[in-house]
Amino acid sequence: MVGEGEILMNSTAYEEDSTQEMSVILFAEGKRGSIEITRTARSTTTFARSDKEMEMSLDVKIGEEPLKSGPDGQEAIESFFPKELERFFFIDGEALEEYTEMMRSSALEGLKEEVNSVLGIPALLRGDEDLTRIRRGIKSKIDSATKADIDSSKALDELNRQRNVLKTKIRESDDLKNKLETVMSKLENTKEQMQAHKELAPIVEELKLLKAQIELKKVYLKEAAAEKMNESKIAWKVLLWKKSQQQHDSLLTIQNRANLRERSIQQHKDSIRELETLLKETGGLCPECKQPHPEIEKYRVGKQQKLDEHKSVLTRLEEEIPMSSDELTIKLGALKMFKPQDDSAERISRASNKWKKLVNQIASLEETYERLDAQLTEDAKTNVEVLGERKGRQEATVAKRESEWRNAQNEVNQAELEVRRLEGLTGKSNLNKEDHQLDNIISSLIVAVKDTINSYREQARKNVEKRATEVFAKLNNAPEVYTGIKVDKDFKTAILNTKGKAARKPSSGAVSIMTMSVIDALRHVSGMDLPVFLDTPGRSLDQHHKSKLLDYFWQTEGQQFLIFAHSGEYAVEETVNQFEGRLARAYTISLPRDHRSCYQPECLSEDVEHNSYNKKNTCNACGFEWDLTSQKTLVLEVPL
Amino acid sequence: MSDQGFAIGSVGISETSHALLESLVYNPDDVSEDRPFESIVEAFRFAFALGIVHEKRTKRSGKSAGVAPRQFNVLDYSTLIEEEAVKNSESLGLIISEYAEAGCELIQDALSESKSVLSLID
Repeated sequence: MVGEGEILMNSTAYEEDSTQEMSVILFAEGKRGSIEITRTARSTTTFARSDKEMEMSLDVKIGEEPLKSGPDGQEAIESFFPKELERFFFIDGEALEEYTEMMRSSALEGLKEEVNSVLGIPALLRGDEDLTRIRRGIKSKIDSATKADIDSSKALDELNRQRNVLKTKIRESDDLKNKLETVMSKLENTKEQMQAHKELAPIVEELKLLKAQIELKKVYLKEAAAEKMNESKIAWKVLLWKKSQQQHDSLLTIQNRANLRERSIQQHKDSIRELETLLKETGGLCPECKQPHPEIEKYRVGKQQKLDEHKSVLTRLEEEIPMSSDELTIKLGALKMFKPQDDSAERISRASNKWKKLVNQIASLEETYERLDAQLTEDAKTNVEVLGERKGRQEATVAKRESEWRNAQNEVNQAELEVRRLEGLTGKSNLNKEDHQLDNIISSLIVAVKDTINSYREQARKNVEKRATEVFAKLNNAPEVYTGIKVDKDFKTAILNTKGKAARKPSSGAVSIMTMSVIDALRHVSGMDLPVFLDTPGRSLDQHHKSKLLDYFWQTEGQQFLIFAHSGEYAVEETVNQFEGRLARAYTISLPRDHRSCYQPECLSEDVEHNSYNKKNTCNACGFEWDLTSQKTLVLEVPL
Repeated sequence: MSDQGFAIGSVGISETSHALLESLVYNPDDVSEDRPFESIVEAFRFAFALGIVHEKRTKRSGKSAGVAPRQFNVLDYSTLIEEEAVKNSESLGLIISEYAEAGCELIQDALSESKSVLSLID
């Protein structure tokens, strides 16, 4: 900023120019030679009060090229430095939150153009637009052709699309084949490793078999134990019945005898009653013929004897008093409670033996298992087991991949058939062959450009993510919490935690550092070797991050880095001392009233007299005097 | 004293026998051990039956542990032991307890010989 041999500042222009005018001239050296850019602001009124009352002009001179002004000048600048890139080379610390929001927001329109510019994509996009425009012209020509031509043209479009589909299918099929071969190779490797342990394999197999048998037997044992428990519920009856059966049978005999006795008593009583009636009624006549009987007395004596016998037996029977019938019934009922089922003992024994047999079998298997197991070291066992499991997994994966590959091959075959069908349809066209071919070529080119853009963007995204993560790792003060940066396909960004997932609420310092890292990565990926201007970079950073930031950007090699910081961000003396070897120049910007010592470079005396009435300071050493009310900005170089 | 001329009494066994019976109760997590009975009362009933079949009674020594009276009614077994109770003027509970105590000894002997508990029914 030069004017009449002294530094020209706004206040001078404002106070002294009759027509207020100010120019800023920028000199730079580039690959195309020296660059001189002059921007001039001239007031269109006597007393300009706003930018609207200022007329702006631009003159650009690059190397030996003719001077360019106005829009031509702007285009000349943008030919080597697109306007969209200014965000990445003129970084405003105060606007970091805005940058962050643009990177984080789902509506990334704010950064989309810039990202495209950084990646050099606009040229490709313009190529795509140009090709589309050319093709539209051909299309309109085709549209005016016959229906067959239209159909043919449509078929051609479809054919191009289908060829692309076929290409994709072939690529996918190849990918799957590669994956299959990779897994098969790994499987072979695993098998080779297993060969090294082949003498142990039978033992390991045997152990596995034994283990499975033991597990199965244990399941059976559980069932057998439960069965035994159920059967044993009547084991006490089986025992008690041994004791009570005899008593039960005795009582039963008594009961039978008692029943017989009752019947016998009744019979004797009946006989006695009959005989007594007979003896009473017969007198001297025969009871049969009712005639006097010569031996009637003898007959009566015989009957009397029978009667006496019955009475004697009846007396004896009645004197035999057994247990009462009720008591017998109760006792028999109580004893019957102890009677098990006929096969209870057998079932209990069977359940018990089954359980016992299983216990013995398991013990035997476990003993065999332990004996075999002792033949293997833990390492060998682990190796063989791991390899076995790996082999199983890999075999399953091979089967899956084979199936996927077969499906992919089928899809390729179908796509090929479709391509051939469409080729047949395009052959029916009566269209001008040149138009046809041109349309075909441009269609292919458009597809190629789009594929290239996508492919390039993806590659650039990976590079940006990698570079941003590297920078972030250098600047981040909590590597144990935040491990990297994720950049998605839309160039939205996130800080990753130790689990590789997006950190939920990263600190504001970490977010600022992430933003810086991504901007730096985008600039790096752009490959543009331009100086970086950073305005108030430490505004939202803590001391650690501020120091790390300078340490990273102020490298001895690489891009030139210019920092514009206020006194609250970086202390001048401390910063200059710390980074002295890496600095080319350092300046302070101040007003005269900020100086209490003499600021003349050759003096710097602190012997200064202050006149508060006149608002002036005077250096007693060199006599320099300065006005404390002056608004003239001082640009002072800091000696390095 | 009941109407029949004997005392009912209550059942109980020594702590040692109680521990033995406890170890015979079914545990689904320990099926390899011989634990055939659903409950301690079931085990006690088996021990009593074993004692009475072998006509062996053992007097309880040491501290005693009770058996749930609601689940074991001594009168259910009076038919088997009432004569003994009247003759010796003993309660049903005492007689049953001593038979069970003896039964526990028999079970312990069987276990010591690696025989299963239920083999004692043979």
